[in-house]
Amino acid sequence: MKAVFRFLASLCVAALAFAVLGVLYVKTQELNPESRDTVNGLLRDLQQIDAEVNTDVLRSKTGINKHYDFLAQAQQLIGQAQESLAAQKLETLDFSLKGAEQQLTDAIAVKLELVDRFKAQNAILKNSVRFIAVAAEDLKQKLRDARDPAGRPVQVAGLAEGIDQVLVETLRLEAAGDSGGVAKVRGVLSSLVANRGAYPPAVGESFDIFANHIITILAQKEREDELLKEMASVPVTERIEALGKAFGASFELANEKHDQYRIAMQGYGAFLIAVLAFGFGRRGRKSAPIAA
Amino acid sequence: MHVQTTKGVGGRALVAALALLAFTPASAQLLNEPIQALPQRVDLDARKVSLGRTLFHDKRLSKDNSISCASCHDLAKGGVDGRQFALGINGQVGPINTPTVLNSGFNFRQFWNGRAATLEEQAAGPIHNPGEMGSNWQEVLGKLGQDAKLVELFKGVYRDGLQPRNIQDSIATFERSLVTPSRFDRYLRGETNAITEDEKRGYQLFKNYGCVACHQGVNVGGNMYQTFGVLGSYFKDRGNITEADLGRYSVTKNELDRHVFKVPSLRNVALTAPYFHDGSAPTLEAAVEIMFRYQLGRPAPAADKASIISFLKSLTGEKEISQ
Repeated sequence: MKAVFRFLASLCVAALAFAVLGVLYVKTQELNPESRDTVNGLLRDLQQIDAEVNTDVLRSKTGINKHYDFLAQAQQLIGQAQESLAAQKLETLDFSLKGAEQQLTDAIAVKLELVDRFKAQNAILKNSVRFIAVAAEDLKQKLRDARDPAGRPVQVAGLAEGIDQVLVETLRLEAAGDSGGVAKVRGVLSSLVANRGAYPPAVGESFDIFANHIITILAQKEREDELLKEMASVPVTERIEALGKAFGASFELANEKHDQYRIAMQGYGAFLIAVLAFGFGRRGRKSAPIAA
Repeated sequence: MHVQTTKGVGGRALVAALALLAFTPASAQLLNEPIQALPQRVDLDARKVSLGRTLFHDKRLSKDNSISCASCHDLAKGGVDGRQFALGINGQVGPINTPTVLNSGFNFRQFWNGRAATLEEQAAGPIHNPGEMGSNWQEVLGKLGQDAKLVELFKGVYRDGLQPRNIQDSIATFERSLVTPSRFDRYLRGETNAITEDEKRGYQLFKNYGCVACHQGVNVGGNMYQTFGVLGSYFKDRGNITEADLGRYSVTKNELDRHVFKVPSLRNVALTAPYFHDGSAPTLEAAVEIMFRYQLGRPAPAADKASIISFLKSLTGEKEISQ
């Protein structure tokens, strides 16, 4: 009975001893050494794509890019890179990284939304800018063709000159880097609008179309300024760098712990082997006189 | 059009398209066009495409086994159902017009309000929508899991076999294979006689009038959002506002996104009547009228509109899509 109890006790001690070894082994496997390169690579990709987004926005604004596929592609690539980064489960390395990652996710979400708004705004602006010269010419032609009931040409003082001034100032505004000239155009246009009631019907209809597009251009130009400023202020790069830094620090810490566990495991393993060797050796010496 | 079937290579069609365009021979002036030609090759896993095709036509994805993806996205009808609103199980009429599945791999987002980032994400939507297929993954897996042949096929293609993400992946891969090059694409690649003079005129007008501001890129749309009613109050004039009319607002809850929708692709537009998210325009002529009135905010002579419609018809895919 005593022997059975002693045997069971030895078994428990052995199991515990190997369990400790097992825990130490698991601890050494927790850190994936490749994850540092993977995460840093993904963060670099995000930084690169973000920079390309900034460039493509400007290229779209200036008309160098004739379509928005480059921006749409970048939006998709950012999404893919984010998915890959999320798959790395940084919070398992250090829970505090979750906050930094979330901040980056939030910044990217804001940036992508602004890019969507920019595309919509830019398309409207380009469309109206392309049209206003045609609209102005059509309006002036309607003015030239306008006749009173007696068949005499209708004169609307200052309208033709006003149309030209609005057109020129608007095109100048569009070529300018910002919306500083918007107030001036609005001023001239409002004086033309104030006389709307005096325009013959055909002229009035054409004027409404012209004015609608001018108002649209002015609104979109201001919106463009706001959007570009907002985009520039979204701290995507800063958040990428912050996450990169935090990840690097956490990884170094985890790496040190990993080394400590590895050394502990090796030492403990050697200790276990020594104990086992001693135990087997002692058992062997006890058995030898009996065998003899 | 060659769907290159390469084992083990998943495709992000838009990225692939833009990458391949860099290596595709084309005359210099056409490269600077706001509309880009479809890629001549899309690299996809043939086994996934085949499996996805099977699932796309599989009515077991719906609760009562009555409808499949193909019920609304009929490949013989331009990837749509020809109805104003889609029909779900039990004859339920949906709230919105079905967008085409053709060339959907080139859309930057899916659904009219862009709520799905990928085709994979989109594939799960109708399955779970009570107004569409009215099912769920548990039910679907239960039914498909009893199909030994299908289970075997999944095991052959995916390491973990029949799983929701693999169902989504195969359907999405199949959908990415639905690329429909048209005569206009041949024109963009330098075949100047691929389209008629009227169609060329129509394309020039399409650019001059500004339609191309939103309907551009490789999918002639599908890469941005836009307000429906930029230069006119479309919804005020139409009346009877529904949930579907809210557009992107339903996703973002941002007032700026009210009545904002993903700009649809105009590829195969001649096949996909009725038009717009509300299916309110029964013909291309009606749709073009609405666009001029509410999006372009300008009149145009009937002859110009007719030429634009000619151009739009040249965007129809030349080869039939095999079911």
